[in-house]
Amino acid sequence: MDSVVELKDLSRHYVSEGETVRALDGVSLSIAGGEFLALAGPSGSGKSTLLNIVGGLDRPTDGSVMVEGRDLATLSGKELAEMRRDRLGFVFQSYNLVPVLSAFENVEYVMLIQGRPAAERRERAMAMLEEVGLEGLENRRPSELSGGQQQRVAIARAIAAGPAIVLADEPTANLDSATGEALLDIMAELNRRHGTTFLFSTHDERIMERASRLLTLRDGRLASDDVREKVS
Amino acid sequence: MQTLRMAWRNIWRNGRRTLITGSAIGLGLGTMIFWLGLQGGMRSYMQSSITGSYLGDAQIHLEDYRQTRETELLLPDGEALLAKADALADVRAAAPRLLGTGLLAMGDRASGVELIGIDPERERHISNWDDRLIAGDYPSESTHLLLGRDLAEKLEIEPGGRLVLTLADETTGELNSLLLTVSGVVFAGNPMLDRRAAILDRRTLAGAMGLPGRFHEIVLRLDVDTELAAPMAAALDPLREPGIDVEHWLELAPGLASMRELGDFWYWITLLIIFGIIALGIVNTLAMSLAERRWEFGVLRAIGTSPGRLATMIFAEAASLGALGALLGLALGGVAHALTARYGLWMGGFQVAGVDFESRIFSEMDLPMALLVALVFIGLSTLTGLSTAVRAARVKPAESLRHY
Repeated sequence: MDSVVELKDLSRHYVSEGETVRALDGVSLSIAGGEFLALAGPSGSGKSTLLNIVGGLDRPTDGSVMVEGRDLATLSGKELAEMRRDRLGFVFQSYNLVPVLSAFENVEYVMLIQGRPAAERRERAMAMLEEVGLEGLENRRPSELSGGQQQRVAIARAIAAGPAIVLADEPTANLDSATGEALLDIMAELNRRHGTTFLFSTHDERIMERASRLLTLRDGRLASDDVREKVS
Repeated sequence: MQTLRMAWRNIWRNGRRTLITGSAIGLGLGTMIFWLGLQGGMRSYMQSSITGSYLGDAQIHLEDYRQTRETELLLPDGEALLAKADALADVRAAAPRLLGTGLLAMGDRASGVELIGIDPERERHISNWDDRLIAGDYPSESTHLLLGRDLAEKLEIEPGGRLVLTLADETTGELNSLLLTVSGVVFAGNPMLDRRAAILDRRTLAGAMGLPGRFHEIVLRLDVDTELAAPMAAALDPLREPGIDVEHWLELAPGLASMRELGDFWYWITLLIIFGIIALGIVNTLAMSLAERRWEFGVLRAIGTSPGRLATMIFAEAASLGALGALLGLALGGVAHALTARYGLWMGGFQVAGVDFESRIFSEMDLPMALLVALVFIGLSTLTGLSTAVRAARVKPAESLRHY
């Protein structure tokens, strides 16, 4: 299967209080389309940094990042924004919905900035909300939704534009176990049904258990790469 | 549309702050609109004072008369010119005047005066003297005399009183004396009129000056927009002849015309100063909003919003604040205008450009101008979002997402 993401000797160094911190140190990795991949490791091991770099939110100090064959280092700020808009989906730990937009408008937003026609936006946003089990709640603002419901909206938003990969940073960390489990079911179902590639950074054992591939980072290096049969 | 909707919702996320900033814009705009109405009222008062007390909307003289004031510079064929003016559609009224100087005396009190010989019935349609009588009546007989208020006080004379006018016969050089009766006292709001004018029947004056049937000027009232030079000039074109000066009131009173322009200039300068103070509040509101929503801008950037779209959203928020303030300002200014238009504002005791203000000024609103001022406020409010918009556009997503 073609790789969606290809990382080669990826490093990200910060200077903090006069000392160089190696958040990522020579990570090489290939992610194929349709993978349901968990990135584990202790806090500070570089999980979020890796997600940010794959998502074009941060630039590496060394090495290269290819997303669908495009080297992110060669893209301008505008092109990176277009890449995030069209080919990448994000799910954050704190949901990060736009508070002044309804659930429907949050899901519709990415398609709006893509310039898709209103009818198509409406149809697809409603379909996405239905897919994550939020039909009937489309007019509620984030403040009127529970944490689990907000995260479902975030997932619907992430997949609405049909991305090549969804980057999910600790998506279940703020949710109780039942809600987190339900959310995982939804993402696994999306992976199974649409072949959507997911890359999670997580401490959650359930995600690690259900992932088709488990990567472990330690001190900015890839410590293990465990490929399983399929998403459970 | 979505950007505007988001902007409008965003400004209400901190309703109190928005109301405070919107009220500041509203108060500023309301003040400027109130002032606009007051300025309109003052301009109108000054125009009506200066044209109604003496100038009319336009005057016709023999060339050089206004510069030299020489008595012999009479209109050569005045009656024909008067008839021509009467026949013009844009001329509402025309009246001839014979002008001179003389000495008015009553007992041991005397004063040099400017004599204005009028055709009383024609003059009623030109000047506002009969409306501004403070005692007595408008002249109705050939021996009647109308005096300016200050001159009457100086001569200590009241309507019904008699006095002697001494003046020179322009053809023989001999002095003539007339016994005249004061029919009324007028306060014209024009210092020259109020302090030095003696108004009497033109035929009486012409007889005493030895200039029967002659006059120096024709004063006109026009049926065009007298606020503007161009329509007045066009209306006067048919009356122009070689050797004859035909001038509208903006040319006759250039000081007042300049003052109007200066008034407009200072109005806009003051608007900018007031807005400059308000702008600090708007910038503060937007900057606080940016600081509070840094993570949100990070999210929007992360999911693919371009820097330009983010900047547009900030501009839209600034414009929404401006529009909210403009609505408040239009309401406030409208109420202030309505009250001042109805009850007036006493502005007595000072003189501007030769006009005495001893009256209430009634607000007169130039609605298109008021709307333009409101649009300027919205435009300037939007511009104040520039620095915040630039900062929002430069937000680094990964860094901003840590500000949750």
